[in-house]
Amino acid sequence: MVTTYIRRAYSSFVAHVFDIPARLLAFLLFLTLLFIPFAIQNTYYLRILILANVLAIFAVSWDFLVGRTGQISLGHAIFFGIGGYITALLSSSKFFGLPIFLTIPIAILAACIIALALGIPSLRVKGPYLALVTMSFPLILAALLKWYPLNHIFKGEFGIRGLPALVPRLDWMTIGQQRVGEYYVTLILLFAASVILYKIANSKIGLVFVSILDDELASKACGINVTKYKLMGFMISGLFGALAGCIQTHLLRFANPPMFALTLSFLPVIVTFLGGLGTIYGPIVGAYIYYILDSYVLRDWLPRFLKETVGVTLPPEFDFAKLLIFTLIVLILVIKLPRGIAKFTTDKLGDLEEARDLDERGPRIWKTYKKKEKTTSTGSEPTASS
Amino acid sequence: MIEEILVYGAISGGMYALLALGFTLIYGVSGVVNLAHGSFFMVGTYLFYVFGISGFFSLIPLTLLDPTWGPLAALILAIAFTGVISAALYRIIIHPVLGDEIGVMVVTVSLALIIQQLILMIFGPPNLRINPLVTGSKQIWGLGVTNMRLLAFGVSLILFIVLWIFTNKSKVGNAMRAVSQDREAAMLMGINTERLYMLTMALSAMLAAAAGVFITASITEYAAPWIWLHPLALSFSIVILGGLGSIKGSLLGGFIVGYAEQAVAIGVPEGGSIISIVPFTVMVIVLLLRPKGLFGKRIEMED
Amino acid sequence: MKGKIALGLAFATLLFGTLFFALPIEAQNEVTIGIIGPQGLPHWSPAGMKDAAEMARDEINAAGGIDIGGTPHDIVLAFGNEYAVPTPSPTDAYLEAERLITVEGCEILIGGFRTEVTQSIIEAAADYATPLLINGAATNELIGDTVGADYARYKYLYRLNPVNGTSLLYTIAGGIGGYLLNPTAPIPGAGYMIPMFADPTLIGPYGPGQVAVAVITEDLDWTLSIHGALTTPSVYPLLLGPFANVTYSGRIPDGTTDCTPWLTDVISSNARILIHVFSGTTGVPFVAQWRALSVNATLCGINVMAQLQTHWATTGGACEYEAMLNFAGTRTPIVPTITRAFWDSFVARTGVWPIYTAWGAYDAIYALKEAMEDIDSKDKDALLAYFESPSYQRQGLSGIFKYTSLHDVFTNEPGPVWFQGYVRALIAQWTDERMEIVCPKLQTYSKTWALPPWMYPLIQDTNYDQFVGVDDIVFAAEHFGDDPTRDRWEHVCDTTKDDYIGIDDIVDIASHFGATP
Repeated sequence: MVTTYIRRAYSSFVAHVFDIPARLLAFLLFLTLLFIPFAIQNTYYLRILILANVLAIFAVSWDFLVGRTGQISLGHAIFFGIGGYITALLSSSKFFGLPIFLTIPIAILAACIIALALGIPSLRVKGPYLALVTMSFPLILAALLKWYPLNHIFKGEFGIRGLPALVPRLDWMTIGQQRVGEYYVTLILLFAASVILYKIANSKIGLVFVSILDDELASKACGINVTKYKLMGFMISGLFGALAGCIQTHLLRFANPPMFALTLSFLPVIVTFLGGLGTIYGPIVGAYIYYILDSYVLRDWLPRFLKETVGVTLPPEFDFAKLLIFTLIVLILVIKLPRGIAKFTTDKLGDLEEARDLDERGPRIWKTYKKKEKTTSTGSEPTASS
Repeated sequence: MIEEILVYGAISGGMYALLALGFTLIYGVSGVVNLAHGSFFMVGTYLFYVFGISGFFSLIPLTLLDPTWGPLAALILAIAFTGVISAALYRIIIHPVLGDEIGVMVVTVSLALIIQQLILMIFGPPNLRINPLVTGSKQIWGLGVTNMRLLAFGVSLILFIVLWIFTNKSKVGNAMRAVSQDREAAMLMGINTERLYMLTMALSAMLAAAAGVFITASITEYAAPWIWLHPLALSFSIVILGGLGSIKGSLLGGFIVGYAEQAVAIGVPEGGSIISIVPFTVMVIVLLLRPKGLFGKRIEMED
Repeated sequence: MKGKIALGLAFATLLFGTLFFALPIEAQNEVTIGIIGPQGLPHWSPAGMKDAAEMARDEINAAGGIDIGGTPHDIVLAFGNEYAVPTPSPTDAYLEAERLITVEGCEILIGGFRTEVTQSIIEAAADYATPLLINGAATNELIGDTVGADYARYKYLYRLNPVNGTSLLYTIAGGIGGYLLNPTAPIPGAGYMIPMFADPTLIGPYGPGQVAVAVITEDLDWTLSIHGALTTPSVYPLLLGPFANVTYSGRIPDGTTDCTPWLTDVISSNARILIHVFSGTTGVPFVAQWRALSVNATLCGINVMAQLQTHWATTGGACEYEAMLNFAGTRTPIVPTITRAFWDSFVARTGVWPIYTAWGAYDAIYALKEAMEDIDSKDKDALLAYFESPSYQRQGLSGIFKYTSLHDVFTNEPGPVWFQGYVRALIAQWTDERMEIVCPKLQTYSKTWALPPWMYPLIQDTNYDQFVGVDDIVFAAEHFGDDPTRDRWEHVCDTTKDDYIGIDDIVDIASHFGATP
């Protein structure tokens, strides 16, 4: 009985995973991620991966909003910051002192509601207007948080501090064990977030999103409630963006205005372009590449390598060159490989027929949907809710 | 109090308008949201430093002939070089991703960061002194205004008028307007859009450089590697509030933001510390009322 | 199929297997100290932390290193960026501190300038129970909310430099309330601003006639305690004295370039003393615009950018007459011999004047060396016990160094007369490409606090008694023949501004004999 199930699961696994190289690669990468803490001795490297997980959640949420619903947001840091500040206010012992398994859900739901409000401009403005309007939101909020009359609540740029840790360090724990715990928590959340977003993107709702992305007027003509779906896109994206902010807050154990910084709005954009826009898995790869390149290769490995082999000690001012190198890489990639690294790789490995249609971002879902329609008999037109 | 808002608001408004002009121009013609606009502002300022103030390339010998020649030559050279650099950068970096809205934003943001880091590596972090071109101050309605600000204000208005005439009367200006209205039709009429885009980019960057020199010399009086962020934020909010691609929109937007900033700084308790969000707030309010800004084109549902 | 699996495996191995290899760093007979600071800000280099730390390291290593239990230990420095510019990034600051601790093997961290990122560094150091000596950030709560709130977690955290915001406030109060506006202080010339600028419409405890004071602070947290104290009507008379009346207060956001709105308000508030508190780049345009608008108020406060030697050039000379806090800020005989020696060797090494983070980094490394040699151990708990012992104190570069129970720096009480005691800032004034110590008042060394000539055009009145008399001539004659290289140089006597007090100055004063404003 049990063996039959296992055998069936195995055979379907072989059929669905091992047959498709792209999926196989993803599966192997996932396995690597799962077991990597056993191979890493140094907590600094684990920390890099933890931060990569957080950034990946954040970037995936951005990718969902922009790549799937077509609403360009350059101010995604606002969700990050709002999530962080709400959970900080709720869990700080100076205010409410709630446990974090309560505050994080409350925070992301609250962020969801705020995302609804912030999504309203998206109904009026679009394209570059929307991008630049959203870019200003986190800047406005950050300035208000630092405003002197509000200082007694938000404590200015000092922020709210002394928060509980994401994974509390019990008496018997070493710092390494705590890091491993944090790593798995963030990895599970990343996995959950990306699976949920992937499922949404490939569901009927996702199809509606793509139709709005492709042609808003035609979608409207088909009876799709564009308003509702656009706001929904903002809410879903805001929810996961806020989740990333909550995790970050409890990792650092404080929330402060740099959570709304412009750089934090640009980071998911860069990371998503690195991996591949509109793919959900692309940003994850991009986030890992970003952190490994920036925090491991350029910050740690290269200076050590040069010191040990060539005998050159890089001056601390090399930091200025680091950002330069990284940005140059991004620039070249965006120009030469507009589909992103991850998508490029999967296209090379995967089915060439599929790859041909990938020049436009999005229509891939059409294919998935059509395939589903063939195999399942329940394929119905996306219901237009008016 | 009201004099303060009127005088200081008008002076900063004029400079802001000049800053925003280049941003709106390049968008209006080629649809590029150039997030590296602030960087050209900074490049212009640094080039002015290199030609006019630092020892190596300095044109100080010219000053021996006439004290105004040195800074003037440095100003012209700085603006010209910024134009050349921007045209080259446009060709190498922006052109390949033209038409992809997000792609353009990503490459221009990357470009801005690269320029910032390059300047950090070449000039180092310390602030560099940019002397005011003229000294002294005047009293307007009992308020002290430095002569340099008055000069910057005047130059802004003159450049504005020159650009207005250029776009409306000259052949190139007509081509620009034609391309901004309908690119394909303009191409069919034999306009070389690529060259026109490059020219517009250079023009836009030159305006940014001029704004850079005048604003830096009149307000901050120093150049630092991160003086691009604030001008960028200002110019995009002004341009959006005035309507992307609209020249008179950026003029009006600049003055609105200038007055609003002064009004908040003076009228709101501790208003000084939220002065930086005034442009954004004005922009958001205007956009909620008029989705394409004050003078923006109507929303097109389809291409 | 198999080939593809192999390809995938190879790819994954390549990606992760090679990138992450363990690298134990074993330090034998070394003390590794991590310096983490704001690269890209003047606090870092070359006037700041990095060069001073390297100087201390070179000096100690050349002299045989730190002698711990008979074994000489060399000092090894590792440098990290706290990622404070252009926008502070707490995540990166945490990572960098963690890298210094785990990868570079630092046993002690020194640094932390911007509050936003310093708290990241504090958390990282607390996670690894690594001692951290804050060198740069002055926010009171950085220590109060950590060591005070959760001693077990943050016990290895110390503040080194500067003294906290309250203590900085005391120094400003000493300059204004203790000297400029204090006619009863036992110092010649004390309170000279009261007869000049007292406004009869402002009524103080001694009747009409108070001097209007304006307060402008940078909108960052470290200035909050200063701003709060100087603007609360029940508090500031205790600090600034009964003759001060704060008529205007404002906060300027960090990074502001146009300070005209605030300065206009200062002008309309008729303030004659302007207290300015800045740590960031806004200090430069602020001073330049203060000069350009000829604001009728003398500047006194904190301006970190003004401590840089390049400040004169950066402001184009507009900083003349600006008075600001400085830690043993200039080479003056008021400071102890070791301070002068440090100043000289630092200038010889880097070519520029040190600012406060340089004093701090140098002091910290020497303090650690002495502590480790005293207890014959580099164990952090032994060091903790050593620093916490009530009898601990050492002669630092900027005064006698001693810790409070909360690991903060112990400082003197406010007062006009500075004696060689616990760490306390000085007030220096920019005059003609130099900084001169104008307060505390030690008769022999400190100079006259000069007023800007657009405020008080009668520069021939060198002792500010509102009358050019024989006392002014005597004063100049006492300094006859001086030039700025001499310790007793008195810049107010050089009325002709030729860097030499000669007969021309005396003639100039004498030709205005009997003049009153």
